[in-house]
Amino acid sequence: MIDFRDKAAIVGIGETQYVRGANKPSAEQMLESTRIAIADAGLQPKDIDGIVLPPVLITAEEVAANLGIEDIRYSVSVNMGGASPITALQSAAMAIASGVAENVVVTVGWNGYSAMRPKPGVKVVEKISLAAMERTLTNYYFPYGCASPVQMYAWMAMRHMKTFGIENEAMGAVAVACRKHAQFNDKAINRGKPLDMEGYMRSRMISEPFRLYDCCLENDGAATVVLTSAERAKDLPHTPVYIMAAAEGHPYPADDIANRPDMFKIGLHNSAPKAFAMAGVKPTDMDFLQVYDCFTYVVLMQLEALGICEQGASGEFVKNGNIEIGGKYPLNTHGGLLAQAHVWGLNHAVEAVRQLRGDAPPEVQVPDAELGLVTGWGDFGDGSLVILRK
Amino acid sequence: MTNESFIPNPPPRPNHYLDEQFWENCRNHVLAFQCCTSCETWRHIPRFMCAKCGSPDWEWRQSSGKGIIYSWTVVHKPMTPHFESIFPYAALVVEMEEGVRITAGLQDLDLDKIEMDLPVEVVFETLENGAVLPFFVPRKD
Repeated sequence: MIDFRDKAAIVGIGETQYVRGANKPSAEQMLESTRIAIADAGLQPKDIDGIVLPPVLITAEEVAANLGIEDIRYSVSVNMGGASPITALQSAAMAIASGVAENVVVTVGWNGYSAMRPKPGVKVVEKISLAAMERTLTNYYFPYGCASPVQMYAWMAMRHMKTFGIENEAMGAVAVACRKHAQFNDKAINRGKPLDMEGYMRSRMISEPFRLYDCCLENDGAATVVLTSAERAKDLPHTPVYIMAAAEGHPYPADDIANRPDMFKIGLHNSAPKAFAMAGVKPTDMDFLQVYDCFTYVVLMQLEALGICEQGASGEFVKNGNIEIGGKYPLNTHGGLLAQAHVWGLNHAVEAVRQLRGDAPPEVQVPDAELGLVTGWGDFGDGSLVILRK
Repeated sequence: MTNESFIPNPPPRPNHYLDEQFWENCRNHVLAFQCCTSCETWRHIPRFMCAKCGSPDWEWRQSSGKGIIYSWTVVHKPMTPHFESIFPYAALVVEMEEGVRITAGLQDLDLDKIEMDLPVEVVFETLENGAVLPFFVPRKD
């Protein structure tokens, strides 16, 4: 296996405002966060020679034409739904480690509020079609009124809950922790809207076992990170955040949840051992965890897949403030998709960089953070993992 | 622009002949799955080859129609026109006697009585849109 440990570093980060109704095409938002990130890196647009993107929303050619990049040496799209951005970090690090490209942009942005499910009074500036897993969806899930991930992931969550006796309060602990952290994040949509366990338990049922507050936000916005080689990173303005390891993983079969021999085995079960081996660290070494949280329960399943707790033990793991700031494993210190914004989890990578630079708001800064991880989750349980250090 | 383009609406939309044949069987009230004629492994959703032995040879075989509830969700927010009239409704994953699992609807059982491993058998329901879908009811035997 190619070992690209510490060969690449994240040197620039950028975010738009995260809003409900951006009134801008997603491409324009991605270019905005990309301009911010390139400037943050102390680079010029013409320095960028690699572009890694999620599917559908923008092309490398469009990015290059807008930024004036005349020579793209490496471009690729990652097709893993919400796991795409973290897998994109793997792709970027590999391109840099191999010398194919030196300065790589990873960007994601969308009108997840105004284009996915238009609301009255919100101007629709574009239409999105996400075609991943289309055949399974249109033939075998949609006809039964399962039109959203909230219902499909519920099959995994329900069986897992019943098998291991995990209680609703465990899901609530994830929701409450993310909301608590969001109160200190100036881009968090749920800032100013605190949530306690009682409020969580009162929220209405959407698709059992998921309540409203088990579900992430819908919003518009974009984020970007810029990566470069370890050598070049030393000369740039910010403390480099090194990619110690990255890996992608897929469940089997990836395109049908129902027929998995083991419904609890997710993509992260495959990617986590590879990434920890490459990095030479253990899950329990982490100073923080930024875990993809489209729904609370997928956080529980990922904690088990990471190996940070035993299978079936995630409910106990998240209790007693263990995943809140001040606890042993602060999780989603920006609020996550549940309480900051849904930017396909690239906002989790941005937050990890802030933590390792020591630039997080003081209330949620993990003291002396040196090592952390970011997971991605997409489609029917694809899972990517990046391990970062300063 | 309206939201019709992304709120999917049954009936099933086959991409190719494998899905077409599965649903054609359902229209005839036959629940059939592919079975590999080389190694006798049943499979679902329909595939072009056997993931176990690699053979492209297969045939449709009728299922016993009997299975157990493997997992489920109860949906409290309707997502499609048909289900607006019946929510809350259950969406099941049923493990068939043949070993394959199928996503399906539920009839004749209170939603709070659903449990893992509950024995069920197939019935066919015709929706307003013309689709004939496998649903499951508690087994009497």
